[in-house]
Amino acid sequence: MTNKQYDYIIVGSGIAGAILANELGKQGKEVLIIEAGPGISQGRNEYLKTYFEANMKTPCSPYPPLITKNNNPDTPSNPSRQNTPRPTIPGVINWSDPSKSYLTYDTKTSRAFASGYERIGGGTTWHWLGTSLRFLENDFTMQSTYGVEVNWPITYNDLVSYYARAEEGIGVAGNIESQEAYGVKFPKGYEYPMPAVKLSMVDNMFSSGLAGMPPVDKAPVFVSSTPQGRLTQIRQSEKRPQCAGNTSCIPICPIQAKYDATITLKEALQYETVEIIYQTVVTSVEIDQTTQEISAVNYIQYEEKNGPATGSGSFSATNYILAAHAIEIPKILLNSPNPGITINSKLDDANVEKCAANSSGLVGANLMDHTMYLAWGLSDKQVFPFRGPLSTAGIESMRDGEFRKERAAYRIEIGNEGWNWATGDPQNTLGDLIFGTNYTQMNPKKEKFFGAAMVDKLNDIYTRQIRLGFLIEQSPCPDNRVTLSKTETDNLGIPRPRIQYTLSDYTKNGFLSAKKTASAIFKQIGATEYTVAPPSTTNPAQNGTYFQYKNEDFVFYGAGHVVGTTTMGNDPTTSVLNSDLQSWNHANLYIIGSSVFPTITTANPTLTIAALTYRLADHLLKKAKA
Amino acid sequence: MTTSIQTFVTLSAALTGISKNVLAPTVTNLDLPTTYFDAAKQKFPADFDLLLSAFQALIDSGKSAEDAVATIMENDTYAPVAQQINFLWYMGGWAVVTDFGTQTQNLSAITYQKGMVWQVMQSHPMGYSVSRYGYWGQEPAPLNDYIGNGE
Amino acid sequence: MNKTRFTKSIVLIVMLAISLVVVVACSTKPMDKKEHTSLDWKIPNDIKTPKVINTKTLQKAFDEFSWESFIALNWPANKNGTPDKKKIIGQKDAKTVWEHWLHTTDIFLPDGGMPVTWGGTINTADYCTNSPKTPDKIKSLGRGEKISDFLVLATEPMDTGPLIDLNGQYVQYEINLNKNMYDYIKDNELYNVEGQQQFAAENNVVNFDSGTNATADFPGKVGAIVVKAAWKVLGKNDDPSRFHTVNALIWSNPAEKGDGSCRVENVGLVGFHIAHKTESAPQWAWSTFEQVDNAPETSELPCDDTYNFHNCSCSDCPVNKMAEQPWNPDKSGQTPTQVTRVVPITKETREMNAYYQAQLRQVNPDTPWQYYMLISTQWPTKPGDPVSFQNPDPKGSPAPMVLSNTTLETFTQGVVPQIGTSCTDCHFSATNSEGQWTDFTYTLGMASKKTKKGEQ
Repeated sequence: MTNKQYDYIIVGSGIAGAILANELGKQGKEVLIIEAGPGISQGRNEYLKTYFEANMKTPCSPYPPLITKNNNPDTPSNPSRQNTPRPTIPGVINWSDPSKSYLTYDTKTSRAFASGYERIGGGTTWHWLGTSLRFLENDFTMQSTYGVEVNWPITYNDLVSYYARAEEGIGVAGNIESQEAYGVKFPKGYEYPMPAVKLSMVDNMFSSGLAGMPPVDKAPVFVSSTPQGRLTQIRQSEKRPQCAGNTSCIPICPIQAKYDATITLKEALQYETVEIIYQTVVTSVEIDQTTQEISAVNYIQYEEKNGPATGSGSFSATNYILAAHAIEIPKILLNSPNPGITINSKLDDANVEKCAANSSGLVGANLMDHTMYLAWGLSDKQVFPFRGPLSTAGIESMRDGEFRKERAAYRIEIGNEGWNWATGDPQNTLGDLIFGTNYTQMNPKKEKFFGAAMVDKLNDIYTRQIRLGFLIEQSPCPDNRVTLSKTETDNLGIPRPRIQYTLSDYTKNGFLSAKKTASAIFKQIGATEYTVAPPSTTNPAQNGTYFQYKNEDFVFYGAGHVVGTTTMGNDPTTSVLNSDLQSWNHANLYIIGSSVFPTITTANPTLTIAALTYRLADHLLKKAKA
Repeated sequence: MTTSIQTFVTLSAALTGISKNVLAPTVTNLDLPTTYFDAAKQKFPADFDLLLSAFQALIDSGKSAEDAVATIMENDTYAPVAQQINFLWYMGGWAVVTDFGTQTQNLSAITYQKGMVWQVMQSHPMGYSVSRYGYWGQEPAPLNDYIGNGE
Repeated sequence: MNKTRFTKSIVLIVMLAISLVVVVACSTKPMDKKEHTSLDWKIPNDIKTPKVINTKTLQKAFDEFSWESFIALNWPANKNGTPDKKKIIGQKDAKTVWEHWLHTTDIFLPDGGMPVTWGGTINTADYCTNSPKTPDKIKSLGRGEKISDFLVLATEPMDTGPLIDLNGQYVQYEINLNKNMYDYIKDNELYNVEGQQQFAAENNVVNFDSGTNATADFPGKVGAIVVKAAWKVLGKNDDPSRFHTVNALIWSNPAEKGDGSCRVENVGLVGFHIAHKTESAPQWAWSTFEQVDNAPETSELPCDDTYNFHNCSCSDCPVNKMAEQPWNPDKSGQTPTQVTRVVPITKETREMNAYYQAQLRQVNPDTPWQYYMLISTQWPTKPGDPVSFQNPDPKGSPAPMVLSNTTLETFTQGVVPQIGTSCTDCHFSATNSEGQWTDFTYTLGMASKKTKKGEQ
């Protein structure tokens, strides 16, 4: 394996790496996938057992390296002693402590980055929700349409056929009419691969309750079914079942009804010419100083989960594609010195790091997330949440409009899981009623309950819990950056990321609107709102994600959408990649994944990641023929 | 079932408000009463026995299980243990009450699946559906079907 | 010689007479004194309800039901598939009752056409002739007494890949249905996609027959049964006398990257699933058997015996690990799977196994059937309607919570109930291609669309 010259080396085995390897393998190309984490576990038993046992059932809870011990639920393991550390929710809570948070900060200037990802075979799709929305046309032209943010170097029309391939590849269940109703454009006669997921009672309650609601900033407010990557029918070619509503999509679908990249990865590995190597961490790329072509990727290997390095070396290929997600990719590039690079940047030359792919000085810049506003309440009638997939519908009708000149747009996710995310229910309300506390506001008199009276009260509360999640568009800002820590490393000696991250006023205006809209919605449907605005000092867990804006207190949550650190564009001084996703500096280096997005828009990124990957595959194969 | 486990089941039914038939069915795939009895004995080596004896004494004196529990809950020694047992049946693990809310320390993956809290909300444990596609679009069975008809 | 044969016949007749009496007696009321029956060709239609009902007694009843089913299904058969009542299982290794049942490939034809007539000629030629790699002499070989089994799958569920034996050969699988289940599929036209859609459009829900328990006047009727058998190619270091062996036609399935050709191999039975719908088990009763040499239990390591799927002298071979891709049944020299049994067989089951194995040895001390054992039976502790959304527990809280066969669910064995570790949990997810309920069977999902050729 070491001496072979591959056609393509792909770093990362998440959805982008898997789709790309599959498309290239189909055409007989020699591909090596390099994955930092462990291989695909047998069945999903190991992950499921860890998940069921976990006390904090966060998105990362089933996956290695484990961050909690059962006897000490609040102490994540030290990222310095892990071989594939990554950001986690306990890491966000303890953001200022590098022995608990993988990401490091100057806490005086930065907020906490609130999202994480996984470094394992199959990547973060193990714990994605499955939401597969297309972008809207205007999402690609924010600068020319609204005078804010930047334009993409491609349009919606450039991606239309690739969205179809992505929907087929993932197996998206959806309904065309519900998407067209708020402005998505499809080719005539197009159908989703399978019928939309059945709406929940919670969805139906919102849908009928919102009838007659006045528009907000001229945008109508109505419910749309969410196209999602989970099976409503079975596919002969895949050996996985129809969704059974396990209500644990995040962090893990117990039956693999929800798509995850191991499906495509396994397909790819059936080709003789596709190889994969696990537990191999790419640390940097080697750049030929004469040609500025990438000549190799350097790696460190390990055998024991968090044991010592057991080997190192490099692999070579004709072309290299980084698909390691939006924080690990800039980490690799920033760790690859390139004295021969010609700076071509709008920034002060002195501030531009001479490393791989960085003529623009923007490697690691424009880090974005969907910063989320959560609102929750009790419906006036029983709607029986905690059933079905975590979300089956949303309000998509507010994602676009003139208001985007002034404030960030958002989509609204309707949660089927009661107050699980919002307040840590069911155990928090249960604890309140049993122990006489009042953390969830359900026990204002701090009484202690038991027996039949407790059953009635619990049932009454749980069966009416509803929550909304506003995915607010974070605008790109070059100062929001991933750089390398000068002091912290992981167990293999690789520098850990240092993050500078704040929210713009544009995004904060989005929060103001979200708060108002949430209250208006609850009022319209006859629900009682219980959203709590936290004072900054109350809960240290929310310290890094707290902000105050125009006299309002907010906490932002992360949607798990890590975006923007190696953006594509038409201008090499303001982007890292051209519209073919090729580095401006290295002809044989490509990047794929959410790091290439110039803006985050209001849709979950995965479908667009997949679409861009199919497009990149086409481009690479065409280039190879020429 | 030993007499102390029988006492434990009667106490648990009155504490949780869930029928004995649900907590301790004759035909079952997991003997919860024994599992939880053993766990409680381990966690509260002295107080658990005292609680059971006190409860049984009240029953023997003619009180109903509900009245006996009400009395127990007014006792500062027994109440905390009883509360934890109540929580244990509901969540499948012990409660850890912090300044910012209650967390669970799961006994095992399987006791998590057997938590009664999911029955009380007429649903299933998150991560373990017992029904098939589409069930979430319709009302579930009535509450009594999940928790039994009380005592 | 004559004398021995005559004596043997007498013994046989007496035994048959006794078993007949026993059967008649058993069919009318629950067993009280004698706990186990002697070997019987009659497939039980349900468990024998214990006098005292609790978890332990019901588990025992279901385990006996499993053994009785295993014996009856493996009874030597007449050419028409009925059990040969003149013989006893074990006298001579022969084609069994269930091997005469129709195969999924006989029922769900690639062109969606009418299934093969029950008891009619079975021709597997289509699968074999299509590949130029099939040797000529095999091209026209159908299934019959000489070639009794047709093996078409070489990978395990949930896309976990192949089980590879110590000779580098893939374990092969087949699925057969009994006449009751076949009739339901044929009568309701569920053997192609269009038929299934029509069935659903008329508001029907698939509901296989659970049979009827015996009464004073009625011997009872056996409900739907489906079996899945796992076979190992017998080769170097294998002792064929320890297996039920057949000559099987093996198809290298192109859907599993095979080259589409057929070959004949001498194979030994290593794993056997029986799923049987009964009145006391509306969520079906799930029985699973293994050949005794398959794999050590985790607690038995380190080992030094000979196993079918475990090399005791390899101490660092990763255990129960999926085979490296690409998976290709035609490729030689692949690494064997190092298998261990994760969930131990209970003491009670071991005792029952010893009893039935002794019974079989009594018929013939060399019979291969003595080398099979029950792992366990999974059954619903809350039997009820699996379809209704008004049932708070449609899965039925199966006991034991987990059950796997090391040859059929090698890589998903575990202690936490979910799709990979429990028969009921896995089969509860079964649907057809349209996502409609198929009553715990994945076979209806094998139906094809009608092509011009198959249209009637």
